[in-house]
Amino acid sequence: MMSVTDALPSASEAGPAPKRIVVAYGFWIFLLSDIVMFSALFAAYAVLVRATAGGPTGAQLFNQVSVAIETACLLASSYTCGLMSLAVNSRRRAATYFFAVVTFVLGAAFLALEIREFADMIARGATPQRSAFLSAFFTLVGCHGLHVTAGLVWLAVMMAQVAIKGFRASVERRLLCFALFWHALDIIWVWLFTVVYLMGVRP
Amino acid sequence: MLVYTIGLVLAVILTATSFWVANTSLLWAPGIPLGLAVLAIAQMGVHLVFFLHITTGPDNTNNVLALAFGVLIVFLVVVGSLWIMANLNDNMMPPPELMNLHMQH
Amino acid sequence: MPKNSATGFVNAFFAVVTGFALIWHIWWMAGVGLVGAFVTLLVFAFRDEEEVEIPAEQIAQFERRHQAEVAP
Repeated sequence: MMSVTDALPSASEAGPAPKRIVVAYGFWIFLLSDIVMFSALFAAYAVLVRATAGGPTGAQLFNQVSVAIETACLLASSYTCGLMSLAVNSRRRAATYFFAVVTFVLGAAFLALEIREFADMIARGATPQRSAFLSAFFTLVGCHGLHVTAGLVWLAVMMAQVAIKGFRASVERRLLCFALFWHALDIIWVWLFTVVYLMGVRP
Repeated sequence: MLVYTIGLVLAVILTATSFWVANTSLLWAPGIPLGLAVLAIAQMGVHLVFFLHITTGPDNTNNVLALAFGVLIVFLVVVGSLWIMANLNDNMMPPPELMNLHMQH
Repeated sequence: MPKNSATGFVNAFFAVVTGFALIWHIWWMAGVGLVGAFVTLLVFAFRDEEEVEIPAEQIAQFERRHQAEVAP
């Protein structure tokens, strides 16, 4: 006769979790450590935001229209990345490539706008060496931009892997990790544009 | 598909609201940074639930715990740095000129 | 179990090359180091055999031999 206590196997009897879940958990822990690193850069920026050394302030430098477009690009790329994940789960190869390309283009557009913003600032004399505020700004926003660049390279390599290896389990796990990475980057950007750009335009 | 679309719509609404809050004169100015922070936390929540699928299912408990720990560390790093640096600022000796003015009695 | 690989060692070599080049401002060498590290990563990522399977019977054999050796 079955009692309630032996209806479900205990956690230790169920064996290790599926590889997909374990890999996602491990990568999630790495992402959290990456976010801790960003929080240190955020803390440095927050401490130094008023240290403009007589140079230009955020209110004088930041262009909200550009930031709005960058935000839209990154948010849309996060959405298309989600759609790419769905295509991978249902093994639709053409849809996977399509959404991957769209994600890549949107991410590249974000980077192009950000690089142009940096180039403009440097041309106006607002270099990282000008003041502590600018050093902190370039480090924080630049670090995020480097992460986006690495993500785009990773996406390109993943598309090559899908083309060569197909949708085998290891490729699917790596695409899952990429999706986690890309969404986390968008979360960091939410904080970036709120703290740096939106709070920065108010004197 | 629907999950991602809902997430996108919510995120767009929160982003647009943030930009409006930052630029409007309708709100009490000292409250604006807090309002922006609240909107950012809300949007982070939207991203976590709708895009990253950090939900409360039994498969997800480990992820939620790891996230909670991460949030704790981030909080300590940011708030701790700001608190310590503000304290240092307050307790630093003023430069010689101000010192002379300070001690005139 | 994961298959053995020389990737860690090779990548570390390229990391040393890159670090040395960055310190001494030898930009071409830094480029070589970074490209080499990236290529090593690609070679590792595209390998076909990733795991080595150790059958349960072999583990049982190890256990029995060990128990026999340490038995009082």
